[in-house]
This record gives sequence, structure tokens and C-alpha cells, in this order.
Amino acid sequence: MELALFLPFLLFLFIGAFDWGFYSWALIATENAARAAALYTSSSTANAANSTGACPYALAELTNAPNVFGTVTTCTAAPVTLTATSITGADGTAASQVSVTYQTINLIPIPSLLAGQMNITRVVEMKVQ
Amino acid sequence: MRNQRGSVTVEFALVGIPLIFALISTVEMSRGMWLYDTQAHAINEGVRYVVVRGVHCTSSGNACGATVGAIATHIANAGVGLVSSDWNVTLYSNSGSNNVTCNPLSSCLSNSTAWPPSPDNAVGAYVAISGSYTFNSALGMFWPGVKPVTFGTYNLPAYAKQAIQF
Repeated sequence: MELALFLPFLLFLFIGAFDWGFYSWALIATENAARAAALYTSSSTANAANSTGACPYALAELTNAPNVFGTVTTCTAAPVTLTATSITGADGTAASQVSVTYQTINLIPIPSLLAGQMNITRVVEMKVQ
Repeated sequence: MRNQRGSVTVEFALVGIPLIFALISTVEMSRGMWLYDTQAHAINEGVRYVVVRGVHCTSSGNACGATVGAIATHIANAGVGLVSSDWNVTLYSNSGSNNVTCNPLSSCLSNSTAWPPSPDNAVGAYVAISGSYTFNSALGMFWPGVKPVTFGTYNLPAYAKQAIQF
């Protein structure tokens, strides 16, 4: 009887830990992907808006994601979208801005508390060398 | 009262076994994730080490170029707690013709070969490093139904890629 009452809470606790573990990993990996791509786009003014050239560097950081590994080769649609833009940085000199959006795999949702799938976007700005 | 004597032992036997299994699983999963994260950090550090020691480190009187041994040592030092003899690392060059395999990482620690060689060290050329760490876990030992009792072995992957900056 007590077990039946307690089991749903225990189940949601497990699901929450499982989901957040994956989401936390995805947040860090997306941040690393945006940073690696920005390192490439900031290497020259010619590459400052080169989304295609930056794509392999972002995918390398996300390579262990189950919906990216061995299947994704471009960054133009979900699960990985990358946009590199040539901008003027805070110091008035040329800079590059990279935005990476990663769509996670479908996980187990907790109604009204935790979505089963998330789109994670990270933006990095870097001064062009 | 006498009929209830011994029920605590029985109940503990019923609950205790799964509880101990859950406890060991939690510790082992945490240890695995810690090793995974540390390896990812170390591989990233290794790539960063190389991309700031490109062609300009071997020209204009500069002598700051990287060697296979220096890269391997840098990775090993960044991977605190990881045993270099359980760790396979591969260095990938831009052309693909100068790749170096360190199976295990400890075999490359004293390699004095300059890496990446020209023209793979040009600014804008990519450098990639992959790692595979052998994680021997006690999880397998407590997995129900596993006979004979063995430790589980898992290969934790890591990969990083960057363009040479200098």
C-alpha cells in the first residue's frame, strides 16, 4: 500500500534525474560547439560569416549525441542549426557571432514540469583576428 | 511477538539487496560520468595546445612547435585521474596522411616527432583528436544474472576538432 503511494514520486524522481542528466550534457556540448565554431569563424574576415565552414567544428563537439553521431553532416536543419554572422564587436572592430541550436532526442516528459524535448541555443561572439 | 521474530532480517534481505545494487550503481555511474567529462576536457585541452602552435611556431625564429610527446603529455596532465595506459588517443591531421595513433597514450609520451608537420600546420588547417578510455566498472559484477561474476568494460569516447590559429 505504502509502496503504491510512493512509487509514482519515485518514478518521476528517476525520470527527472535521467532527463536532466541528458539536458545538462546537451547544454555543455552545445556551448562547446558554438565556441569551437566561433574559433574557426574568427580566424579571418573571409570566414566571419562562413556557416558551412564552421559546421564540421560544431558537429565534432556534438558527435556523441545519439541523434547526431554518424547521421548529421550539415548544420542547416534540426537537430543542429548553425548561423555565423559578421558583426561589429563591442570594441568597434570586426567580430563574428555564431549561434548554434541543438534539438535533443525525445526523452520522457513530466507533464507541466519538464518537456520531453528541448531546443538549446547558444550564441558566441569572438573578435576576428 | 514471537511470530514476528526474524522478520526484520527477512525484510532487510528483500530490500537490502536491491538497495545495495542501487547504491553501487549510483557510485559507478557517477565515476563513469566523471571519467567521461575529464577525458572530454583533456582532449579539448590537447587540441587547444596544438592549434596555438601552428606554422608560425616554426618560422621567423620561433621554436615553440608541438611534438607528439608534448601533446600526449599535455593531454595526460589534463586528464587528472585517468590512467594513460588505459587510454587510446589518435591525432588527426588536416590531410589525413600524418595521423598518429597512440595506443595507449603512454606509448607516445616520449615521442619527439614534430606534429603536425607542414603543410598540415598551416593557419586554418584543422586538427582533431579522438580518445577512447577503458572504464572498468563494478556494475557488471552486480548485474543480476551475470555469470561468471565479471567486471564490465566500457569504452568512453571523446572527440575535439579546431582550426589552427597561429
